[in-house]
Amino acid sequence: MTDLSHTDNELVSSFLDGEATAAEADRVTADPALLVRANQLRAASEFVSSPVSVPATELDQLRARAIAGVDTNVIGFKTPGERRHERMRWFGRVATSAAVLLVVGGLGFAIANRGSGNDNIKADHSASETPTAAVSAETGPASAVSGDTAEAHSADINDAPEKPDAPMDADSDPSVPRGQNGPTSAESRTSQQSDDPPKETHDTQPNPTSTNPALSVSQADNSFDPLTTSFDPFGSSLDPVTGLDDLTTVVRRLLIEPPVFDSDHDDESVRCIAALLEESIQQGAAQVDSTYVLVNGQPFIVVASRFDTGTIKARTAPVDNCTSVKSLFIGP
Amino acid sequence: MLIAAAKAGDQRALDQLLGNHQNRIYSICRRLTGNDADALDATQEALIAIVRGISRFDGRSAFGTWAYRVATNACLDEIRRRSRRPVPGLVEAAVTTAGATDRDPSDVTAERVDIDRALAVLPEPFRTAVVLRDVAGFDYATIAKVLNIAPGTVRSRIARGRARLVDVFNAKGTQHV
Repeated sequence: MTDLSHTDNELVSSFLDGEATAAEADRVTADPALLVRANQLRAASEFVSSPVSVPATELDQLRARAIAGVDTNVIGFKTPGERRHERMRWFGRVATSAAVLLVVGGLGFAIANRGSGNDNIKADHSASETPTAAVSAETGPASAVSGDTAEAHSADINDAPEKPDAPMDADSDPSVPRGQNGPTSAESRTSQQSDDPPKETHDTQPNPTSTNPALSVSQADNSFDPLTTSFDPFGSSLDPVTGLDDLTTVVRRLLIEPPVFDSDHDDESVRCIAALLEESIQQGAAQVDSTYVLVNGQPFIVVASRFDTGTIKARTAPVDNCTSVKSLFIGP
Repeated sequence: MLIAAAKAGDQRALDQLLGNHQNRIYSICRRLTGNDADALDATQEALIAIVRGISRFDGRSAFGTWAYRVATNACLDEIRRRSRRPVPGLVEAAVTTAGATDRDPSDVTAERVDIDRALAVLPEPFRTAVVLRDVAGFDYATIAKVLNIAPGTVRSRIARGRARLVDVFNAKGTQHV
């Protein structure tokens, strides 16, 4: 019956709807083929006209809101379209608020624990010859993962140049002349740890993040020494990262199961996290979260960002040096 | 008169007026959008549009005709905003139970999904015309006014839409042969 002409279908359809003329109706009723088609189209019509389940309560609420909201100009009344935009703005505000809360909470912890932290630093400065400290001073924390750094850098999608003494960097390669690439991580880190003004480092190695006050290194606040104090925000559960694979695992888990910050941590690191979170949000990240990991025994900040396109990026920095931010492309 | 009172700012009259039409508005939006959430959003847009525009209702047509025209446009706007597209495999899924005569009549959810999917197969102009006819129950002249098209176009679109639906049902039968 599907080989009927469109004119026939129109005729039969209008006949079913009582919209056909008397002559058209006679023609349909006299033609068995058209009657069969009429039954088919009637079945389709009855199918569509099946009763709709009406959510009466919700409709009553919608009606009341429409009247109250429009007629009395209730402040804050939003149409669904406006609510969609509001939801988008809301997500951004929540993420920003989370970052702010992180800063406030971190400052509180830091103030409460500053005294004991300084005591620990003084007591443990003699421990600078411990194996971990020696590794940091000579090659930086990236030495344990240098095998993965080439891959990490090739996948670096951050548009901003990063400071070469960033974690997981291969800048400790002795084959690279120092005069070409600026001071090594050891030099940079040593200068920061020896009370030199941080601007020296910035002068020789311009860093885009240095313009952000939240990302600048403050020597006054740099009393926290993760190598010598008991920096352990997650107890004994801090994940060791020895390469890009480990970092990828941490980041992917981070975006699924964000950790709860319930332990002590340094105010500088919290400021750094907040700044990185804020930057990620400004770059359009749909989801951001942060955690700490251990790289060669040294705690690092990891900020994970997921974008609407599915892209996942990680940004890392030593907890005591937020100018050494490194961006890594984790993948979709 | 209810409409006059509503136009004059009587909220109780307006409430009663909307209450008389909200179920049909929702039904139209539900069939046009294909899901509850979008239908509720579209219905709210429609109710707001009616409340905002009732002062401009000039009475040249029946209030219902005007209100459903507003509602239909609100629903279509909602659909266009969300850029809904037919889901791949929609036809196959739609006909799985659409032509079945022994399906459980209590399986309301499954039936609704099938209707939604079958309607989603139709191009929007055909779907709108069919819904206004078979869900809203409007005659061709009213549909023509609601959609601002000629009655002959209404007749054509409804016929084409129904013929497409029959094809969907026949496809189901073919699968079982």
